[in-house]
Amino acid sequence: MEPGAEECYPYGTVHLSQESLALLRPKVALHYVEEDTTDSLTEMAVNLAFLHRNACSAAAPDALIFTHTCMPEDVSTSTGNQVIEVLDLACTHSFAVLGTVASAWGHAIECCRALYFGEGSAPTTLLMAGEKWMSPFPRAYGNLFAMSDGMAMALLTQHAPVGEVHLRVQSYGTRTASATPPWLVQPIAIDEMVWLRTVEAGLAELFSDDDLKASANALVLGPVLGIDQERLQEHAPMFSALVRRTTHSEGLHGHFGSADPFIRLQDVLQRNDADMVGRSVIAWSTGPEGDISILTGDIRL
Amino acid sequence: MTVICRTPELGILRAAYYFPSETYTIEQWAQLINQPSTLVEKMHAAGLRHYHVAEQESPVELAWQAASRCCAGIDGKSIDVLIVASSAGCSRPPVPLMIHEELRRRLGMRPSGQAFSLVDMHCASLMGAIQLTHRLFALHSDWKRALLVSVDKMYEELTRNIGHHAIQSDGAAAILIERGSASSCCEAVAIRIEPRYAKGFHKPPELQQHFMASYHIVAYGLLSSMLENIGWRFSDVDAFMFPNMNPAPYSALIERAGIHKEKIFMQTENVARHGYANCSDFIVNFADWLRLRGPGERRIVGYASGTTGFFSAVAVTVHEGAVEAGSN
Repeated sequence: MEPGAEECYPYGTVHLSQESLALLRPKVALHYVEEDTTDSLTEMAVNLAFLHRNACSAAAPDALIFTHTCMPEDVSTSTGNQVIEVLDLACTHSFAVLGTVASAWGHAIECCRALYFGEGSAPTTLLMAGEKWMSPFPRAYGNLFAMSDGMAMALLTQHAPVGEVHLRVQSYGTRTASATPPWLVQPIAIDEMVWLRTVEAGLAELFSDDDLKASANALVLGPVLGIDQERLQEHAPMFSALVRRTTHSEGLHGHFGSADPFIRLQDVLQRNDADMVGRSVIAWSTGPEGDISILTGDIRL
Repeated sequence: MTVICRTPELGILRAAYYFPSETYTIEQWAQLINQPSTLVEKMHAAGLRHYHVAEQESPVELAWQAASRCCAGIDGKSIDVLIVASSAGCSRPPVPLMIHEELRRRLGMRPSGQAFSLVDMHCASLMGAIQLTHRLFALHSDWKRALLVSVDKMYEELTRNIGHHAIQSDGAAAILIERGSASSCCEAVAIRIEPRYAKGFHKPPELQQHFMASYHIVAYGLLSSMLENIGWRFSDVDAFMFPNMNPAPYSALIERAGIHKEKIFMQTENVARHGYANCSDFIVNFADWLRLRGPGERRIVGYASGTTGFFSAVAVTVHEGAVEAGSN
C-alpha cells in the first residue's frame, strides 16, 4: 500500500475499540430468567447507543442496521429510527435484518458490505445486535442452549480506521439445515446426535480441516453450549476441534444469539492486551436448528 | 434523508399474490370487537368494505402460497437470494422458526443461496428490499435472481384497523427479480427516512398531526425527485399504484403532482375488495395491473410509506407482454 493511502478491505472492518463498541447485558444466564428486565429490546438498543453517543456521533454512520432473532415487544415502532433520532444521526439507510440464531449477525455484515455499493452508498454502518428472550418462546433447548439477553453495537466501515484497534473481516459463511428439524415445530427435545451431524455437515462445507490447522494460533470465540463432550467427539470431530479451542470469558454465559460474536469480541478487546494485535480470530455460532456460521479475521491497529 | 438509487439492471420477471379465502366485512369486524357505528360509517366513507383473514394459515403458509405461485416452474437453485419483507413485527412464526428458512427449503435453494428477512421499515420494507437487492447484485456480480416475498398476518382484531383509513388484511405477495431481464426494468428506487416519526402510532399527538399535515409534501418531494432523476415527468407515467387504503389523504398529492385520476390504478376497487395488505400492496396492484394492461411499453410508479418514518417509491418500465402475474 502507498504511504498515506487508505486501506480498503473487501469485507470491511469492525471497530472494536472500547469507545466504539459496547454491550449491554441486563441478564446473561439461564438462571436469571425470573429477573426479566423491564426494558424492551428497543429500549436496550436506545440506552446502549445513548451511553456511547459521542463515539457514535464521531463516527458519523451513514446507515443503521439492527439485527435480532427474538420477537420484540414493541412491533409497531422502528428501533433503528429511534436510535437515529435519539443520537441525531444523519443516516440514509435504516432497517433490521432478521435471521436464525446463528446467521442473523452474518447477514447483517453482508448487508453492510452491500451498502458500500451503488448511489447513496454507506461506507460506515452502525450495527446493533441484540436479543431479549420472552415467554412463551423458549429460552432453553434441553441442555444444549441457554439463550441470554444482551445488546451489542459495532461500527462497520469499508476503510481501515487509522490508529484504532479493529477487526479486519476476511471471510464469512453460514449454512442452515436442509430440512426443518422436528424439534422446531413440535414440543420434543432436540435429538443431539442429529443436531451434531447437521452442524458437522454444515461446518464441513464452510471450513476444512486444513483451515482449522492453518489457524492453530487463532483466537476462537463462540457461544457456551452444554454439549456432551464424548458425543461431540464421536459424532462431530471437526466441530469438536472448534469447540475445544473456543475460549470463554468469565461471566459471559450461554448464547447471546445475534449479538454473541460482537459481545465476545468486545470482551476480549477491552482488555487492551497489546498481544492481541496481529492475532487471527475465528468467531462461530450455531443454533437450535443445526445452523452454523463462521467468520474469520485478524485484529489490527 | 432521501436516497434515490438507479436500479436499471433489475427487472421484475414475475409477480404473484395470495389472500386467504375467508373474507369479512367491516360490519362483522366492528361487531366482533364492539366498535361504534360512527367508526363503521367513517370507514365506509373511506371506501373500506372487506378484508381477508387467515384463520388457519400461518405466515409461513401465506408466504409459501405467494412464493410458489411466483416461482412455478422456476428451479429454486437459480435463486441467489431470498428476502422476506414484513410490515408488522408480529407477522412471523414462533421463534426460532423463520419464514425465509422455511421458504428456502421448500423452494430447494442451493446451500450457498442467501435468505434473510428485512423488517423495521414497516410498509416500506418491500421497497427497501428492492434497493438492497440492487446493492447485493453489485456486490455479487454472478448473482442473477432474487425472490422478494412480503407477508403479514394480524393476530389481534383490535389493531386490524388504522383509524378509519385502512383495514389490514392477512396475505402475502412475491416478485421474482432478474438481472438484465427483458421483461421489465426497475428504473429507480427512492427511500426517505424521517426518524422523528420512529414511534409510529405511539408518537405524540402533535407529531402525528405534523405527520398528516406534511404527508403529501414529503410524498410529492420523494416522487418528483425520483422522476426527475430518471428523466420522467408525472405525465409520462401510465399508472400510479398507491396503498389500498383511504384514497382521501392522497388527493392533495395527486392534485399537487397534476396526476390524472384515471392513472391511479385500482385504488378504490382494491381498497374495497382486498383491504390494506401492508407492503404487499404494491405487488397486489402490480399483478392486477399486468392482467388488465394495454399493449405496448408502459411506465408505472409504486409508492409505499410506513408510519414509523419511511417513505418509498419505485419506478418500473414494463415491456410488451413480458411479465407474468399470478393470484388466487
